[in-house]
Amino acid sequence: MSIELIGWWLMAAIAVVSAIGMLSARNPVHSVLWLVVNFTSLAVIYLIHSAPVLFAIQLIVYAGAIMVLFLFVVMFFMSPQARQWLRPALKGQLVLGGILVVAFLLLIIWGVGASGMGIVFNTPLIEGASLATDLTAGAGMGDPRPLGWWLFSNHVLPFELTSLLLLIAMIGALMVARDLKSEGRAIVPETAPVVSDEDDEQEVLA
Amino acid sequence: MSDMSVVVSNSLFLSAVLFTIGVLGVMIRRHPVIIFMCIELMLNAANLALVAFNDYHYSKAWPALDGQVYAFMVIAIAAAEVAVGLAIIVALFKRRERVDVDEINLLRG
Repeated sequence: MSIELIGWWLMAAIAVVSAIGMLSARNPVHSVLWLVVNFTSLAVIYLIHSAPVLFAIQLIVYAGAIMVLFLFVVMFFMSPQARQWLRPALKGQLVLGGILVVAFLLLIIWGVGASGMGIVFNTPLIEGASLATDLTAGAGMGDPRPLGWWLFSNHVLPFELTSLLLLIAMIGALMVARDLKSEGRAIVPETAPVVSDEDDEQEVLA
Repeated sequence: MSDMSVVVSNSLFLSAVLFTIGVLGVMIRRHPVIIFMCIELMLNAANLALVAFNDYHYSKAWPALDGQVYAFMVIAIAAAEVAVGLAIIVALFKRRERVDVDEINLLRG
């Protein structure tokens, strides 16, 4: 069995377990965290499938930005009783956090050094890098350049339409979620059960 | 059968399993945020299938990357969908104490 297959089975197991965990968690915050694990394992599977650009996009956009949005909504509107567990309750959290931060720093330093882009290990900047390399010829599937070339050669219109769609979605989200009450022209009928969440916000700010 | 084609066919099965888990979540859970996350899971399962097929059909002679480009588009559209969907959920949370998708059956507040 090759390293790809072993890694695939590991990531597939994590993906299925975290998906079931997302489904069965009682606390919505736990569900969000399970889903982050799931997206991360899928990102590694993309890497095994020679799609490093999607690996990065999956981590940054999905596991990063989108799930932060989910967490924000879930935590902002969770009932105060359910918020108890948010207090840092783990023993030795500071020590573990410190160890992880140091490991992360070492990883970054190693990465910068190994990439040959840094001056940490006395390697000159951009040595041997050639931006004029042929875009497709000789490039393997793991190379990010063919994806950009393919995207902007064959799919320019959908790409541009996507930017329009994102703009429309942003305006639409603002329109839907804005507070009509505070603007003094509520369209909510008087009889509707309007729940005040001001106490909630105070608590979050405090 | 080489290891890579085993990985491709395995990925298709994994995609099916994840999609099914997402469908199950939409059917059995009633919290709107959880249902939304299950939809995200289904989108990701479809993305996995696209990437796996791209890997299978890629060749030096015809270096097509359509599958990856489609997955890229799906991620962008999922971001837009999340923005609008979470805005709707926020609006629901503001107006109701209990948010249960079985009780939300009107388009007006």
